[in-house]
Amino acid sequence: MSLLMQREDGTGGQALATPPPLTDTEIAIPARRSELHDYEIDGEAVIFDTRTHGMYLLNQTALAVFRNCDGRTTMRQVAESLSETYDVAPEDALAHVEHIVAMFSHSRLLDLGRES
Amino acid sequence: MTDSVAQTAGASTEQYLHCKIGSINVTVQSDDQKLLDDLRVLYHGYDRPSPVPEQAIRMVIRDTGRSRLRGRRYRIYGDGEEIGRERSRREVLPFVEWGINWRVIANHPEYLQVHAGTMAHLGRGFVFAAAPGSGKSTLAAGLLARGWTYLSDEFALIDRKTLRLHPFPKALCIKAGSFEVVRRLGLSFTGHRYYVKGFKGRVGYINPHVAEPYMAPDPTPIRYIVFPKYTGTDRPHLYPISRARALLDLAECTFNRNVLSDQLLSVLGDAVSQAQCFRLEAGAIEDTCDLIESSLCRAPEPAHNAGLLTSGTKCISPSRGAKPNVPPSRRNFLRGAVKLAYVTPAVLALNPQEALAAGSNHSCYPAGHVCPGQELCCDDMVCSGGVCTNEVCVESGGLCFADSDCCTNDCQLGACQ
Repeated sequence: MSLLMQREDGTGGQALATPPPLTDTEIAIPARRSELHDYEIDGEAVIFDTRTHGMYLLNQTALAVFRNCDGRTTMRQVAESLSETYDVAPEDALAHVEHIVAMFSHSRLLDLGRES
Repeated sequence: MTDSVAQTAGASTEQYLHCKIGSINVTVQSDDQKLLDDLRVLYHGYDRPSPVPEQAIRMVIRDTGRSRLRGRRYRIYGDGEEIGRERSRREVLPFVEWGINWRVIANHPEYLQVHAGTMAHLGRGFVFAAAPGSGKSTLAAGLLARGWTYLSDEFALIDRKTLRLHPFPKALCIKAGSFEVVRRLGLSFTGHRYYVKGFKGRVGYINPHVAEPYMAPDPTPIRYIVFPKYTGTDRPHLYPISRARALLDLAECTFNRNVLSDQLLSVLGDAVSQAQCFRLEAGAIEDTCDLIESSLCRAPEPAHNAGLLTSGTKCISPSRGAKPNVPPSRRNFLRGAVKLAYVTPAVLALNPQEALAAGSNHSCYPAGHVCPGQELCCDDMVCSGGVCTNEVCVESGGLCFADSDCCTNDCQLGACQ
């Protein structure tokens, strides 16, 4: 599954390679780091990490996942929410959520938590 | 034009040139009459009869002597700091120009400073943001020749409070590869000579006052943000991009993004929100300018929240633009549950270190490709000035975006230390 956001002119963007799979995915509760600034525009968002000065562009569905990384919502719940809003099967949504959350984590945008 | 003030200091005679370039005050001091005469021609129309305020940028040029092998050499200082050492006569003017740019970055934090050409037309501000070598200055020259209002070929100075473009109408710097193109536009180079600007090689300068007296416009609202790239195509293309993507790319071109930090996204985001955003594949200058004028200039004023072209505008290859949301499936419609079309979640990283840490398997960037980091360039190339190149690194005093641009690997406030 490619999670590369292609440039509109067809040239390649900067791929974040497939990260290692998460464990206990059904109970993982991702939480955004507090130092992140974001600007939402036309349904997408740009994230600015004030610590590393890294910047990230999230498309609409990635933003929906990111917004649900609130330290209270499990990834399965996030996937269910996506499935209710978008035309996507729940199992597909969960696979995508796991992947994008792993990318967020690998990019140090999250503090991964566990349900107590 | 008023002569500069001459003062006697010991055996030499110091000459001064006082200028106001847009809202930027500059004083240039030198004991070399001919050099100052060159600058006086370049800044014709900007010079002032009396010393400018204390806050002026102060450039000093010192003759360090002459050797048989190397000819006369000069040392250049910007606000007391040495920025150029042992430079030839042809290098002095570009160094002074660059030094002024560098001091603008350092002295004017009230502006968001984006590496971009900026023009105004019919009261609308255009930002042409791109890495060096993308054709910004040539494009600015092409539009200047058509009567557009020139704001800058180097900086988009965006007021952080009003989000308006302020002019910094320094002389346009044109690289040798575009000399003939610019001459065909009917524009002439100042002093009818070329200069040498670091790794960019030969350059010439066009004083925007040459065509007619330049009137600095009022601060102009940004209505269009365009990312040009010269590809030499025989069919220039202009296609819309999402404003979020424009925000990311514009941040990449912002000189003082790390200084602004907390405010960067809000200020830049608000500026982008009031504009329509495009990528431009540029070809011949006349065709490219025709495309810009026909596609954008005759369009109605864009709505603040319009992400796509408004009706009445024309874009070549609109299918390459942002994809519309597809209608819900028939099955969902029959169920009575109308769901949004699903796009796989995706994230694009501007910071290449993140990609590398994740073991990115992307292919390397070829020569001429925009590169936020050197590691992304192929083979033995370097990421210099934001572009993968076989050229050498930027020497001390040269323009830079990142430490990797510099031979010293130390880039501060846009200058290699």
